[in-house]
Amino acid sequence: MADIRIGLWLDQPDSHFLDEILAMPGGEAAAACIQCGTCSGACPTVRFMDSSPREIMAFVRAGYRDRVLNSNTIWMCASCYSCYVRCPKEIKITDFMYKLKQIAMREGYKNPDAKRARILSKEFADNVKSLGRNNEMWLLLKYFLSTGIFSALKYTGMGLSLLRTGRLEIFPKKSKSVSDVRKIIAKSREEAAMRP
Amino acid sequence: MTRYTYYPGCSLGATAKPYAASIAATALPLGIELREIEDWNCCGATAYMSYDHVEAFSIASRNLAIAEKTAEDGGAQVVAPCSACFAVLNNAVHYMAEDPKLFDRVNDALSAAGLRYEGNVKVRHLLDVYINDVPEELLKSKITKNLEMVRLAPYYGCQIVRPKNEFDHYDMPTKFDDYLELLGAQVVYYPVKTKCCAGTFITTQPEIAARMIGLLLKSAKDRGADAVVTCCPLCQFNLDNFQKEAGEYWNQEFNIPILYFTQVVGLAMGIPPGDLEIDDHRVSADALLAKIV
Repeated sequence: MADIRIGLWLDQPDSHFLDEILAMPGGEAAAACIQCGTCSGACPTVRFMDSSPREIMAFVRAGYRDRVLNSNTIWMCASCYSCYVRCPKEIKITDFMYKLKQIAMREGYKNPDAKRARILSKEFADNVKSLGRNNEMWLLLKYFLSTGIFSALKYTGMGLSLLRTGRLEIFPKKSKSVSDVRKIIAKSREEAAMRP
Repeated sequence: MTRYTYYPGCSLGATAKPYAASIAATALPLGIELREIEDWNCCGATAYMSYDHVEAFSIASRNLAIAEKTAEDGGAQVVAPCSACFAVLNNAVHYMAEDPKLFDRVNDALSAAGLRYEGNVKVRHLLDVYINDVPEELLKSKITKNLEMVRLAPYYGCQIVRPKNEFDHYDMPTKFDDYLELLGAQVVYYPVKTKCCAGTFITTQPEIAARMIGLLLKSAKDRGADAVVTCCPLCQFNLDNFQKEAGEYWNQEFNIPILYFTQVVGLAMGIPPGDLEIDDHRVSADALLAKIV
């Protein structure tokens, strides 16, 4: 990821990016960051990120839109909330990462490291929409079909053990909730489309 | 007998069946009556938040609206055994209380299914209920087995103590430690007790997951724990099923049983391990079981 640091000065800062973030619910907290680095210190996955959470906050405020949305950082967040509960300025950093993921998904930013996380999110949402509940077996099956079936091979032992102990639900029971869930999702999307 | 509205979550019917079995075996004798929310749906977990937060909170809130509607006194206590479900539902309650615009948007979406959430639900984790709502005398009267030879590492995981929780300290909680001691077991110092189990990285980033899971296993192994005790289906799944990969990453062998806290409660109560489905886990707990007298 060396090119990212070297190429910093080549990016075109986008002054509207910070405005866009500040306008999101909870996004106004971005202005409060004091760059102390507590979030990066608390993060269990920071060593795998191309920018630390502290750097992401700095890039957001400087307007480096593409850099932030192209980073693997937002997808390397495991949602453990360590940073969130420790931040001295009480910035909801985990939610902040979710927001950045939402923008990146919507606008088609495709960090190669994040491909599998994006697929899992999509398959998960599809699973809920079609069954009302999440079926682990089908979620993983569809996930592996989308990411390369060979990567599934190393999970064979685990799969057999789960199967033997009856812990894989092979025939998903469709919850009666599914029609409600679909209506709620449709209505929510209708509303989202009208948001400024 | 205290009655609670119960939100089991998707894992309890599949990968976390042993959790469900051990809850069924221990809750009623301890005076906990769990009434399942009729026709509940998936909470959305963390994956759904990458889509849209209003949509994510809307599907989570369908469960809250039904719980509220069916509660006898208008206010419901929703109990979740899964830490991810707990965190999502609890976040939904708190965020909607703080943000009237979100509250209205969610209710607008719920209206499509003829539902409304009024804001009268309190979400609790099952571990919180076991620890804080069961009178100590009642628990002690049910304990028939001696666990004093058993050394346990209390693994809280991240989401039970994270945002907006009223259960325990977010970084160095102690209530689970105290509870296992109350059950008669020895508790090892476990400084990584709230570190992340890698969550869904087990599928999307298996190499990173192996590293993170290995750190948790190593800390327990180095301190001579006979088992790591969890309160979350995903933590149990990751720690139990990824020991080989974690061992390869850290170049050592792990063979540590990962138990649900309800299984430890059941063992202390003298319930046969088979009824608690302990033998369904990947790593055998036979050595631990032999230490119980």
